[in-house]
Amino acid sequence: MKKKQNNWPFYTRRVIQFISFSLFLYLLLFLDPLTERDASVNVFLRMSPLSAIGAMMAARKFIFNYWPAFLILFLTIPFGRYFCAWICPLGTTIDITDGFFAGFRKYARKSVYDGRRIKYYLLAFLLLSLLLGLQCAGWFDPLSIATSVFAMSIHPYIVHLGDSFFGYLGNIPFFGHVFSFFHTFFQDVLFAYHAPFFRAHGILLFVFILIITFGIVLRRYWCRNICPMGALFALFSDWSFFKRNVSSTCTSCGLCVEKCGMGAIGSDGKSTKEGECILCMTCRKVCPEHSVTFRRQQPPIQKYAIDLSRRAFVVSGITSAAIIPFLKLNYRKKINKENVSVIRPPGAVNEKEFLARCIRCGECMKVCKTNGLHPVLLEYGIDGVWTPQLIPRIGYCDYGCVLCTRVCPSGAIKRLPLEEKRWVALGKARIDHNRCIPWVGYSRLPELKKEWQDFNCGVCEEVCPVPTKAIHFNTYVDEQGREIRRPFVREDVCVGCGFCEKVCPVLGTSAIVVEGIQPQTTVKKERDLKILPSGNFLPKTLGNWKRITETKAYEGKEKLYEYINGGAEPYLSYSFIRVTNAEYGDDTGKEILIDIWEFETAEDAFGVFTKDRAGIDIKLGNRAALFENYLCIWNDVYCIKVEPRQGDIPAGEITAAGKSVIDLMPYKKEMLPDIVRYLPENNLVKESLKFFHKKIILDNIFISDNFIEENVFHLSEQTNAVIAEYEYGEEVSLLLMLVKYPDSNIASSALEDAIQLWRAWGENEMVTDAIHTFQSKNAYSTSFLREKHFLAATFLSKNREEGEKLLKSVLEKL
Amino acid sequence: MKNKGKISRRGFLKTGIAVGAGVYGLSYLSTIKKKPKLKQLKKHNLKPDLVVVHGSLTSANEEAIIVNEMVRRAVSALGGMRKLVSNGDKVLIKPNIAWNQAPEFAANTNPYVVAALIELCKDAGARSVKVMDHTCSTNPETSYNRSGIASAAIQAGAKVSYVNKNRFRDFVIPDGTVLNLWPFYEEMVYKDEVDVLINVPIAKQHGTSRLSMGLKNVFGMIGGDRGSLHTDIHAKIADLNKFVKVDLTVLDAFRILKKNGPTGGRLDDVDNSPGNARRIIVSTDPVAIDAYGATLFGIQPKDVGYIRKSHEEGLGEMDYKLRGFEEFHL
Repeated sequence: MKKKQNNWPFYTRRVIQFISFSLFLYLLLFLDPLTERDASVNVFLRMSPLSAIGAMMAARKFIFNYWPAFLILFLTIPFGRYFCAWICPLGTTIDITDGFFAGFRKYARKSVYDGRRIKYYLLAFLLLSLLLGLQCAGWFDPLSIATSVFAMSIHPYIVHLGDSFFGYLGNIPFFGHVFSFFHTFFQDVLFAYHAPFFRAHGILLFVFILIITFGIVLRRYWCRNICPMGALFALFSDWSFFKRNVSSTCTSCGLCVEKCGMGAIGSDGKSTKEGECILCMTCRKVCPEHSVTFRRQQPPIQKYAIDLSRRAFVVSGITSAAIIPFLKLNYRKKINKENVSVIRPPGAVNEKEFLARCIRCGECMKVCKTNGLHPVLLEYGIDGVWTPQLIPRIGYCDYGCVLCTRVCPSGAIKRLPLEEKRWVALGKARIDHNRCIPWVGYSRLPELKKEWQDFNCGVCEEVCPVPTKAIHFNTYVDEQGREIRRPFVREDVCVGCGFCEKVCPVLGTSAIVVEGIQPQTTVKKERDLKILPSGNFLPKTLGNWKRITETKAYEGKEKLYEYINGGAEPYLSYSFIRVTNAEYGDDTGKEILIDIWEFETAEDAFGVFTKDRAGIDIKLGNRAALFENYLCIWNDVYCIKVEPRQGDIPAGEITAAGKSVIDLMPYKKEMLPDIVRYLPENNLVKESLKFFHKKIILDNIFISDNFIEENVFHLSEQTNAVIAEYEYGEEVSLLLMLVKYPDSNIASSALEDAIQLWRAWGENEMVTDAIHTFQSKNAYSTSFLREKHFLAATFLSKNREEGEKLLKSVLEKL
Repeated sequence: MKNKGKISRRGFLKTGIAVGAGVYGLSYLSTIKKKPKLKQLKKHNLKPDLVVVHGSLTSANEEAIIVNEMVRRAVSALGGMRKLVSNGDKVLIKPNIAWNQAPEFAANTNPYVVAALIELCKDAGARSVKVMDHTCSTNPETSYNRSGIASAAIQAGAKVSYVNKNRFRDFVIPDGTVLNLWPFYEEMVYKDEVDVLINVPIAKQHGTSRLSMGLKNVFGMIGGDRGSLHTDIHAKIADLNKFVKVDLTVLDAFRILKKNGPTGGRLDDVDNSPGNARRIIVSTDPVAIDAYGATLFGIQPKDVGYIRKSHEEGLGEMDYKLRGFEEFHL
């Protein structure tokens, strides 16, 4: 009676193979959440010695990240080619599909090549090409193939299939809910709310089908004849402690020959082909005589050598030498520069090294949250095939995501912390003025004038994730105040994430397109951007004028005293930020000075403009006034002054210089202080209007014979005040002041204090309704009125009724 | 049997016709489904007031408590959630979760506001509370998580779900001036899916429409090519608001984004001063909410195109003090 043999090695192998394959699938399916937790999701890819050698040799750098590959390779010395049967996910897949093809194999005529040598020649070819600097090991690495096939073809297919199947059944009344329930469950498990889609998934599927279809003829055909990694393991397996031994009890029944997946056993059942045994333990299990054991020593007679021909090696060497320059040829002529405008994932190392390191596994594409990374096909030439690229129209690079930088096994994509990644520019966005909706609208202006259409868009600006926005508007406004806001890109801060390209509502090709830049650059950080924005408006040349001094900036209170000691206080009573200036000269020796005053709000800039305004109003910026050849312009938060320095300069030239400065500024609609709206418009002398906050401005305006020492009106930064002149025919005029306080208590105490002061001067007091009126000795009358948190006052009125009437019309407006 | 596993020509035709008829019949069944009724505004006894609650913060740890209390006080000043949500109602809360951005950048609704509302609805007897938004990020998961809303809502007992792309249907907008038809999200407009719809926007500057608050937040309830809505946006916002039936709007102005909106990303652009922010505004009138919100940015409500348009078309009152105004500090 025969001893019963324990088959634990076979079952252990099955269990480990199952665990390993499940782990592989689990890591792929849950790649996103696992990567977020920074688990080693790429562990399988890092196990590949072929990719490891490939990436290191091509990049000529040691990549420490690949230590598992060396562990695997090192274990090959005692254990032989165990990896293929115990771990390799592609091997497991082929084992499974081979099971389906068992029926076919029975009838197949086995006249296919099965010489086992091709894989060695392929390995030789790949290694030689590495020396020549072409990395195409990744295309043949079984782990890369398995990763990309499962991630980019099979998973999306299953998801789409399930979605359409359950979508169809879920719509049916009565029992549809049941399917909807399963659908939801299925979506939760496979993260299929946004079914992934990958470009060229069909090509991958084709490759996969090709690999498995050999199963119709021979089992594990890929592993036997093609897999270069198998060849690599085979080369190391000769020292193995576990070589197949057949004892003398063997009856040469041929059962093991038939069952061996690798076809590694000679027809007598005794000899084993060198380097072909993958220790799957099947022959040990099936042998009826229990004559198979695995030992270090193998009787020489049981060794069945695979003869490699030297000639074939020479041929593969020559082929690689001949083919590689061809593969490296960028056959697309337009790519004659280093920059190929393909958008690489963030953190991609410089292009040459990227191509050397990238093992084409597709892990970064799989992990991309927005599904924006896709394989390059032939855009790049043949050596770039299957490397990742961002296609913004499909998915952009999320400003808060770094997942792709975490999964790369070979360091083609550098690991980047989020803070660093946010400053990396993958490319730059450019706007096509012939497609962009507002730009097209602008170019159609002449016809639009007749029938206005809204041509504003700005989705690109809206989504731009750069905190200071890389897209801004250049606004055109027609006479009726209708705007067209044309977007433009600030290239210095654009990170090329492609969100704008993704959302652009223009059909087909986006009107804003991101072009990749290599090497990726770091954009200027925000604080660098802060330097003197108003300095940008003083370029080297302004029309005919050339700048003859450096641009100087005086920022903050202290510096302003440096600039205009003595005259600084009135400016500081507004929310002063800085003043920037430069002198310009022309060929004839004339010189002008341009000051650009910048304030926190447009209202304050308007206030300074009204304070300094003199002469006649001209149309420039938001508002402008010209006094002889002194020009003062208000535009948005700026108040610009242009004045002659040397030579006789006509007003026209000054105005032209001012216009050139304004043209550099982004257009902003006129934002008048709110309080201006309350002024009655009849008889108002528009040029006399002054807007201010603090008492110092009022001090320079004549409102009464006595100087007002105390701040009786309680003016401060918190108050908005406006004072303007009203004219009633010849020589009859008065001043109206309107002050808005933060609350009504301050307004009423201001009124009380003012009344007390006027009383102290001993003027005649009269009260009608809520209006207090004082009449001085030379017949000027002053009236006060408080309403809610407003205080209104008229000064220097020759006619008491006019002043009171004006106050009443203010009251109506409040 | 001789022909085991084989099929005759006649058999093939027969089976083919039978299967075809079956499949077609099933799809036909699905078309005869009754058209669901559209949601109407829920009848309620809430005051028509606009309620503004101010709150201040002395340390960052207090935010959860203060914001929660502000929301509670605001809603109770309006009459209490029980006056809107009745027992067994299905409530849908629609915050702004558009961007993959942390709460302190004021790009998304404050998660504590959402959590407080969920608690209020649950207390009022809501059968289920669902929180969702059609995000601007392609992958909603990123925004839901980074904004802190997903975890806050789940903790408060709500169901958080993503938008399912198959559930957008075209609906006719009855008196649309520029839009007559647009895809809306079924769960937000069908009567049997939602009883009470609460809009919880955050106040932000917005490039195209100037400001993004309650009325603009409706962009998260629609599908289709939302980018194409950005031409003539003001009229389109008004049109979309004619269709959706928002029962209550809670504007989160605890932090407001003053510049570089709606995405933000710079703390300098976030205003959380008591002067302009640090408040919760509640009303049943979305136009009043937006009108008040505009003043926080120093903008006159009538200068914002969509607020004026919505007011003119009768969606609400632009003069926010007209129907009652209540303001208090916490």
